[in-house]
Amino acid sequence: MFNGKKVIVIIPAYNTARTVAKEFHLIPRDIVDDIVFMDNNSKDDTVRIAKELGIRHIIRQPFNVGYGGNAKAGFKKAMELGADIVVMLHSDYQYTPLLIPAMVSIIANGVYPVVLGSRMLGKGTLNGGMPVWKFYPNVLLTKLQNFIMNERLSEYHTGYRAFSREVLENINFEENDNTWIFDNQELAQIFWHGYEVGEVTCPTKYFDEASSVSFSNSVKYGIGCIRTALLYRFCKWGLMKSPIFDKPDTARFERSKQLEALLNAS
Amino acid sequence: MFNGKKIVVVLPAYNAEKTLEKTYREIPFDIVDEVVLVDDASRDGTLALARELGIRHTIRHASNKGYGGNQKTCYRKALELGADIVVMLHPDYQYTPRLIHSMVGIIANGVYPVVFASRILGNGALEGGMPLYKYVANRVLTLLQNLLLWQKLSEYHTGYRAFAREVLEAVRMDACDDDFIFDNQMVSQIFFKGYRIGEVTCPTKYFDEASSINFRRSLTYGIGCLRVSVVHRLCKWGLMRSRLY
Repeated sequence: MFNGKKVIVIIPAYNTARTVAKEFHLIPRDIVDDIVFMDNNSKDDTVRIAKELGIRHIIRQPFNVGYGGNAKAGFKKAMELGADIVVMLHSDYQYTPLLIPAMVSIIANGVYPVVLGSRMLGKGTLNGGMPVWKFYPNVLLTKLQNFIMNERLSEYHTGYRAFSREVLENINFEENDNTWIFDNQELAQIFWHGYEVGEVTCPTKYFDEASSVSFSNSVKYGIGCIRTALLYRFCKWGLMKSPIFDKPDTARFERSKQLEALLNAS
Repeated sequence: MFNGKKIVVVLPAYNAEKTLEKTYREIPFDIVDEVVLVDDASRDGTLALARELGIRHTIRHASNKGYGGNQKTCYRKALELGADIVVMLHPDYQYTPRLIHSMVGIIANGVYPVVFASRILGNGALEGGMPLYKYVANRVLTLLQNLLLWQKLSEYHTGYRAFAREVLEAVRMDACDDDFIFDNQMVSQIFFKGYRIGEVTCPTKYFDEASSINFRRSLTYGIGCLRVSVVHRLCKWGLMRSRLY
């Protein structure tokens, strides 16, 4: 709880058995009420360790549903648990959980409804060991995205994000891709609905244990980011329509919940 | 108190009668232990109002010392009161006190020893009414300073800053000027000593009551900033010595 608001941390995980415990112990439990752990069908001991740590809500995907698919499950679960503020934290320990109070308080105090932990502010990124071939494309991509979307973020690619409940209720994240592009679409949706985004400098640690994406996947990701930005721009100009910018279909959400309840009952 | 650390907010004030109360009322007293107001010989009722509001530590300069001189008194008093974390907040209400939790949280958790609230991050600065010439000048100046100091701050000119005690004790504040350039010299000292600075996006409100300096003084300030950065670079290279460091 922070200022009477329920804070839930959601952790998407895939083969992060080595880093989960280290990270978990740094989560500030004085303000974090609950933790949702989404395991994307890891091949290692991730789930066993999460259980041993006493995490109450563990979602186990029956097969790998992609980063976005896993994130969707986490956001939905957090909303169901009555979260007022949801913080997404990756389980690879690339981001320090010690920024959670700073991010949560900005939302709880009503300064911004969305806060990103940015690795591109400050000098940490390169010193922290982000490979140069990732650093400069990230800078370039961000400049392009800012230009196309007419926004001013220092990066679009951080996985460390905090949201107020209102934002999550008003963006149609269920329509997003199940891939890494999910994060990018989510930001486009946030801007689409007129929310402002605050940023906080986040120290970065790149090390062997931190998840790394291959070169070809990075290129694919970059192209996806630009596509998202262009989609946003064309939709803003009224030249295109996309369901990701619609209001979420709460009726459908309710129906699927009822169906689930029925299935569970039978 | 935050994580057992004593939090002191300092308000360097000069003719801030109209905005002081609004600012003071928004200070989060769940974590802020003490408030210090230093009145730099205001001509209005700033000091009387501060006492009326119940601010325990008010100090009045007999004559106007300038913005830097004001801050020196602020920080000295805060350290004397045993502050572990000191937040400087302008009483002109240009910056929202609702970021104090966040800035203090970053320092108290040991993520960064210094945190600046940046008006340049986000879309706020221009929309909030910062005049375009000021915005562009700020951007150019920041770029030059980043190059000279070899750092990556989004702005060097914010008046909303939080410091760990250790940093305030490590920098030679008394060697800094008493005017507006103080802020810049202090940043340079912080980087010189090897401390890192974290930033937080800060919404900006420019309005008539917020202090504004005119074009000529802005220009003098800009040149002063560049001088500080050049001296910093030359000292780093060992080509010069300055008592600042």
